[in-house]
Amino acid sequence: MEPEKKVPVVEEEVSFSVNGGLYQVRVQSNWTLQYVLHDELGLTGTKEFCNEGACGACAVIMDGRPILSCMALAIECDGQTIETIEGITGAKHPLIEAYVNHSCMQCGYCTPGFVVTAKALLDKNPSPTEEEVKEALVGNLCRCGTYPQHVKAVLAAANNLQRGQRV
Amino acid sequence: MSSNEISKIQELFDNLKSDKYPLDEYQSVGKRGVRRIDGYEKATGAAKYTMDVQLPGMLHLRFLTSPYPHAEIKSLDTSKAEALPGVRAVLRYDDPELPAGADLGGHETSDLPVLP
Repeated sequence: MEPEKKVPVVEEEVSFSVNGGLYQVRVQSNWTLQYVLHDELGLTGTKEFCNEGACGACAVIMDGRPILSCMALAIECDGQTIETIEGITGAKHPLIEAYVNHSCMQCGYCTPGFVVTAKALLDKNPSPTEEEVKEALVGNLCRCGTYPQHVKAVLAAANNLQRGQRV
Repeated sequence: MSSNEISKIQELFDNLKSDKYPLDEYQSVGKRGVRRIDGYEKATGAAKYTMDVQLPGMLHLRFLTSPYPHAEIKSLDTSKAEALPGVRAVLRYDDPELPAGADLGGHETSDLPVLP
């Protein structure tokens, strides 16, 4: 095994906007954004699962794009605008209703990541086709195998958005 | 958006937390689906998993695992880990308080070492 290279850990003050609120956090250079959101800010909807960018459970929306928060260092997020599942719930997005009504979860650990990714899709493309939904959700893994329900739920939510049912 | 519409959406969201559908939506007898009773918590990320629990005075644990499969441990030096500030305990595979067959409160005991 290669010996690990010692990189000194530095601390820095960063400020970013999470769900509309401005946060100022003292972060270490090796903290991921997922760790800061989940453990430092207590937004536990952003789940850690694989911690290597494979599963999508930790997805958050940063400046309109869905990103994997386990692959982003918090120290690099200074000045960014971040939206998490808590923000989407607070806005009473039709996706939540569609996800509950379509039973898109079994254990439910991956579900917030799916909702965040789907929200980013609907922000960009309010009336996606089935293929486009599948393509957008390709980076999210669900070991319970709930994939068919996700497509139905996102299409239903898009339909509701089109009819103007939104806060 | 009017306050009437907002309260309507709030009511819709409150209904999601129950597995029963509002009855006045239905006029005939027949099949209707049942919602997952934990669906709302899980879809909104509010459901608490073990990883989300934070208790006062909670200790954290790290495993040091072997980089080699099926290797024999010839020596293990944990003095540096013990000397780190804030470290409360270091559990070793040869800890005399964790002998083979120790009852750790699981379903059954085993003759294998607790920390192999």
